[in-house]
Amino acid sequence: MRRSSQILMGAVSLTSVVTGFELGANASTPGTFVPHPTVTPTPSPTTPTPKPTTPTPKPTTPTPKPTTPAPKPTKTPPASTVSHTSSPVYYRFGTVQLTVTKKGTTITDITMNQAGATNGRAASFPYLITLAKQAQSATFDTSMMSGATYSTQAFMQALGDALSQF
Amino acid sequence: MQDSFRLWHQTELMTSFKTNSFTSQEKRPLVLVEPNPRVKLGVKKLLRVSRGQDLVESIGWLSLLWVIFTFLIDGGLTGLTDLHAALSAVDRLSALVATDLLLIQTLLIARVPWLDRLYGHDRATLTHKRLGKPVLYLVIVHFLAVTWSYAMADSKNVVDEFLTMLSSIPDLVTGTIAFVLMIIVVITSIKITRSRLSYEAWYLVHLLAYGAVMLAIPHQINVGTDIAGKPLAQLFWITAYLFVGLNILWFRLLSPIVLSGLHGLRVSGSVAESSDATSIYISGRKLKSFQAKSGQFFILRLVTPGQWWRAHPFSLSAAPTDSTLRFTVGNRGDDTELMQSIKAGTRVILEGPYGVFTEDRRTQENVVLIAAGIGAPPIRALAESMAARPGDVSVLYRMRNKNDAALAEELAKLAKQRGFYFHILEGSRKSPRSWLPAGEDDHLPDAERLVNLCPKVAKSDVFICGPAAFTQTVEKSLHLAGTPANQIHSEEFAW
Repeated sequence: MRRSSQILMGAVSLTSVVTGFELGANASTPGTFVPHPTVTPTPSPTTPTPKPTTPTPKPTTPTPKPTTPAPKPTKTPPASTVSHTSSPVYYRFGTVQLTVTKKGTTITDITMNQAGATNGRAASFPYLITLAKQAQSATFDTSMMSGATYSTQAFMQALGDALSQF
Repeated sequence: MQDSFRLWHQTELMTSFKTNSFTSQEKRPLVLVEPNPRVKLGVKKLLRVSRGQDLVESIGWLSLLWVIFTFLIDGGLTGLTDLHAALSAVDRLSALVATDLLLIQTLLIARVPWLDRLYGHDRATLTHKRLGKPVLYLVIVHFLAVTWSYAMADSKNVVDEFLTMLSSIPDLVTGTIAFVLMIIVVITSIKITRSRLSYEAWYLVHLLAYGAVMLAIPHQINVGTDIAGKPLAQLFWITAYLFVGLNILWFRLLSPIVLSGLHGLRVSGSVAESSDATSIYISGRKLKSFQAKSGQFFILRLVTPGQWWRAHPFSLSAAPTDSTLRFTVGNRGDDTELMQSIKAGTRVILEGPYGVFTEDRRTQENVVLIAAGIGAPPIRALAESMAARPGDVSVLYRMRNKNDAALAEELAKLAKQRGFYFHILEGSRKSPRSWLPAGEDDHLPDAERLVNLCPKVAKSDVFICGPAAFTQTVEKSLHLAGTPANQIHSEEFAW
């Protein structure tokens, strides 16, 4: 290549690598929260699932209803807000780490510290958060979701880990 | 003869060669074709070549850049806070870069005319060779990183995880076979092993590379994190594969067969030129449409039950005509021996023409043609077709023995007829670092002796054809004599 072409290509390369990195850094911040889908439950329809070899963990654990209504009475001190962060969970498509905030016994907030999930699977986390808050548990029914089996497992594992610290 | 005044350049000369017992063809008359009527001189025309080269190299580079860019905007390098995330980034990036380079590498060896015109077959092949190991290293990195990171995710050991992946992730079996094939192909091509293998064994193993490239496709498109489910990425990769695949299919496979059939290419005879060189005549119809030029070569296949799968590079040793191509080849390999006993009428398949060792690259009025040993054929063809006035061209022919040098007599006659200087450089070298034979002036350095032989060498285009080591030493002398690098043309035959 001639000198001038080399310089041109060098400049193009540098610019695109830098912009690519910047765009990537912005894109990978956790997606905006999506309210719980009532009718259309598939968050990432484009993803061809790499053959879910493990069945969806749905049937194994029956969704615990509000099973712990006992300590509810006035005895408990005024509900304080406590947060715990799970240890990172490594799985096939990335790393998941989350922080659970509880007010009293109620899960009020779940934030993703690391929402690693390649290939559009990250879109599942907002849904998972909504479902988890509804169920108030680390296990919940995900039968209306598909294409994120591994991410869901990792999410539940991280959530269980965080909840166990309370 | 009524026509004789018009066909003055076609004066028939008889070659006076001893015909050996194994020749299937008696000596043929030396018929010279009319030289090129004119040639464009000056370096300006080389600008087109370098523009084309820049364009092609830029496209190749941009394809690599595109792959890296899309990886980056997908957040490929963000959130690398732990080993697992880093491994999975490494695994993806190495796979993407390796695939892109692999496609470029495959295209380089496809002998596509539009690449050949810019770089010549030798440079394309050299780059192809150079890419071999880096591509394999990247694929190995991809394989190790992906297995390790998955093993981390599943808290298993690497071997268990690998077996799980094979059974649970689609298309990984073919991907793994491709990986093994790639290793075999590279190992058989590195110097140590290559020198121990026969050409045929190496060639057959090397064909596995096509299998490797194809077997690797499914797992990229279906499972590849950066490709599966991403229409734009899929479009890019499918286009790239199709582009390379169709170029190979047409230029390496179909076009030679179709064109050779259409032009009815057949062997019309063979002649022993010396104890170690044979000329083969190929006849056919409308051969001008191949647009072959003196100095180029073809890859020749004899369509016989035992030979069809072996290809041999053959240099044109006479300016091509509309009905006949003449090739001269050294009898070095196992098969070239056979070439002397080819039956006339045998069908042949020609791939080509290839090479940029032609008058197209000439920039000066004066030309020096330097041949050594079996490098003589293209020089002989160039001497026949170069546009020149008497005195413009000098021909140097380096040989061991005057009485056993291929095409020497033809070159001498040709030079006499066209008014070229012709120097036979016969005998053994004075010192191993010299390329000139011992002689009266051998106390002088090669460069000075060269200037004595061709006083205008610094202002000439020099075409060198000979063994690689010879070419290199001649090039050194030329630099000392003051010939600019872009006026030195050589063809590397050691591929």
